[in-house]
Amino acid sequence: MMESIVPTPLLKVRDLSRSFGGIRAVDGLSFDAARGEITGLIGPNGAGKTTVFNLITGVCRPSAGSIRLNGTDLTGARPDRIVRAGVARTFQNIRLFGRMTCLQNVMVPLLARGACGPFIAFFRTPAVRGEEARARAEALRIMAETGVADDAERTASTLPYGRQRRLEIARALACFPPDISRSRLLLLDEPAAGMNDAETRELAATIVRVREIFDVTVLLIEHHIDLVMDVCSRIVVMERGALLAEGTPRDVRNDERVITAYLGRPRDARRQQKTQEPQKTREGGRSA
Amino acid sequence: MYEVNVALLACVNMIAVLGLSVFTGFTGLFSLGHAAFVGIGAYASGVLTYHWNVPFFVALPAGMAAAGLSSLVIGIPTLRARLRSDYFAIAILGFGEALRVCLENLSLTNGARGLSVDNLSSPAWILGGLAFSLIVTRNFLKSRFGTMFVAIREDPVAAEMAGIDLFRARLLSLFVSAVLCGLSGALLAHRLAFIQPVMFTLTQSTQLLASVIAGGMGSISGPVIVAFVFTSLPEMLRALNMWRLPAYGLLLVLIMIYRPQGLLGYRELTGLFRFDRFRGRIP
Repeated sequence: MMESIVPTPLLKVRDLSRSFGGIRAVDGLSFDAARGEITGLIGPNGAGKTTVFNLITGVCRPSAGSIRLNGTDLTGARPDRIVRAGVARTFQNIRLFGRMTCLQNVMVPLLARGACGPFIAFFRTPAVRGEEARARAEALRIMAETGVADDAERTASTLPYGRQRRLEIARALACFPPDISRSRLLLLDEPAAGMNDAETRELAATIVRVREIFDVTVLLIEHHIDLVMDVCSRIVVMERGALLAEGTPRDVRNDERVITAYLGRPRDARRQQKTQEPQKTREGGRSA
Repeated sequence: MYEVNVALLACVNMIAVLGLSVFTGFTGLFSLGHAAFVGIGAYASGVLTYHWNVPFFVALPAGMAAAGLSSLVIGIPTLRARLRSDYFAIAILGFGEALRVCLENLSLTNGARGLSVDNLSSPAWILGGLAFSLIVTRNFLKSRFGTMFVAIREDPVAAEMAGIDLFRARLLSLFVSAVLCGLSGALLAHRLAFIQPVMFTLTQSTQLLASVIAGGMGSISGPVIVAFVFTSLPEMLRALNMWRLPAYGLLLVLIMIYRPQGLLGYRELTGLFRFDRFRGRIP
């Protein structure tokens, strides 16, 4: 039905739906993420944003619709295949490998796509050692770019909250195979959750820098609306599993449906609305 | 001489516990059926030497291979179905019981009467097997596979999102642990010179699991030390006669109360096995 919404889409989501029992968590959602840009995915709590991430990364299968990355159909593919295709993510509730060191956390995705087979691993050949040394160097490079290199030898679960989130970004960046530089999609699920304003600003700078250095396309779920407005070039607004609005930060900020979804309607406007479109009044009063 | 025999039996048991530690301690999946892999190793090698006079150095790897192959038989359907850890433990428990019934009813295995094989496991074979198992397991767990296993244990969802094929990694872990159990079984059969299906039941599986838990998850040295103690302790306490089993139970209870993480949970005794990257305390 829709062709490209943005000029050079890397990610194309079309008519995506997913029900859990009787609840339609995502309901016919279509949007694009432009290559090399930062797209925000916002909406009130329970709008289905994280479910969209789970559908894109293969945590759960869509009931209907399609997900395409750079023309490749990823709908319902296995999570590790989706990672190989160039999609990496962070989690809303942090999911680090708690008992490993930070360096190990970042090395996991690098080692996961290693070439050494199990048999030579029994004997710790030079090939095994070489592969490990390369993974270690690459992990340290990624950690330096994301500002967590100082914590390399610390146990991940002992890090302060904000740096655990950064470490998750570092680990996600390590998931991108080197040969797919043109289709790297990074999904960030509320990276600024629990951060203060200073930390949030730092994080915004990191996201922007990471996008340039690693040549990634970013899809960002976030409730810090300032962060979203600052770093995103396009914003997709969801409500109750469906697309509510889509456009530049300026469009979205001035969109009445968005304001209504987040803040509810002003009292007099609501009264006015009631006389004009009585069937829509139930939307009023919802808060973000 | 009696003490030496007990110590050698303990060494044989240590190999099986080492195998289960790979699967439970490092990959985070519980198993109530690993005695079945010990049994398959014992019977496969025992049948070969008993019926066909196959040399021991051929029968031993054959026992390991048989255990490894049987792990694929149970592992492929259960791990592909992504059974949660506790359900997997039940599935493999059923596998172990089914195996016992088979062993009891086959004429090849001499049924429930048991199989009398030759005493071929010399101390050199046992100590060599233990040393080989320790070195190979250490290397393997230090490699990228060990790192992947630990990632799966820590958080399967995040591990999958880091590009790990959960099914293949877990199956590999099960395979390696089954091969080690098979080695233990082959050595056991030719040490005791007599095997019976009833030696490889739930009781034995539980004892293996108890050693891993009491020794500590994510540790090689802990479970191996505890395996030694758990095998030799009942023998040392033989003078106490009926009080042996309560003493054994008391030891387990004390470990649960005073060291719930096990003897060496997520740690190693010596630098020989220490994984600098798996360092860390229980949060």
